[in-house]
Amino acid sequence: MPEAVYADLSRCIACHACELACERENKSSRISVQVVRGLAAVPVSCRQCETPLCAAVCPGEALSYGENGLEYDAEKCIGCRLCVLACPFGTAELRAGVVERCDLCQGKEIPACVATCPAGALFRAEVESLGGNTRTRRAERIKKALGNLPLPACGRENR
Amino acid sequence: MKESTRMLVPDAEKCIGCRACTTVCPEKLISFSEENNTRSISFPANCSKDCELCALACPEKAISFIFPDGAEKSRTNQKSQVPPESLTLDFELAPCQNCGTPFATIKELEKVKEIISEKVPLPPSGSFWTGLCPGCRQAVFREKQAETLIQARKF
Repeated sequence: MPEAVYADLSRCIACHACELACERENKSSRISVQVVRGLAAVPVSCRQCETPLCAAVCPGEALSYGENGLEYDAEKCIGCRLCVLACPFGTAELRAGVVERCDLCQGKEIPACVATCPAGALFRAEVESLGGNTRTRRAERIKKALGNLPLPACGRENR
Repeated sequence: MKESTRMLVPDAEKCIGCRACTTVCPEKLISFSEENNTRSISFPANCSKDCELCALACPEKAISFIFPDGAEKSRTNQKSQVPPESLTLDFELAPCQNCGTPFATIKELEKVKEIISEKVPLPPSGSFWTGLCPGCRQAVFREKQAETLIQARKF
């Protein structure tokens, strides 16, 4: 399953820092936060669909589903905007003949929005790993990052 | 006329009005404008001989070229053959079902819907989002995402 930027909505404070971070990284923002009925702030960016409709309608095969998820080849893009019209989430945009959508800050370990979010609401994950609370998820990730390193034991003997 | 006499011929039936050709034309000879509920794309009658970018870009393969190179022969009936002026195709724009802003040509949306229904298993509601502009699609998704949290915050 591909990874995407997800949000813990209960944490999002609609500060728009993610949008600025994205703009800094990608020239224009590919994530947008808006407040719904004054009660909940929701950031929306490309869902990195497993059956991407944008790629399905792409006549030039500029958007395709590869090993690393959804890939975009600007060289092959003809700028027809069909991807923009196919995306169910309205998260693809054509700017200056180039399709702009979240590519998880290609090449970066952590997407700029995730790294910036002061509320810790954004995270990059596979959809299966969702559920549970932020702490559990973070603990899981730390555990994964540590790999097989022995966990530090606590208690008197170790002092 | 020593210059190009090649004619650019768009196929009004095939063309969906996506504007790929307008983006790609290095001379910016193909232009478009939008007014009320109509998008108009203007094609020049002829253009530089060594460029086929628009035809290559066209997702519908709707652009072809005619070389009236038997120039001597065709000169007599050139008038009937050559459209002397640029050709303009008009496309009706579909309004967003939510906000009413015209956002795509009806033909573009039909094509997208057709491919989607062929290639992807659709939810029971069908491809409802194709009736919405990208901004309203985001809004619908956002609303759905927020539902649970809003309920929780009300109590």
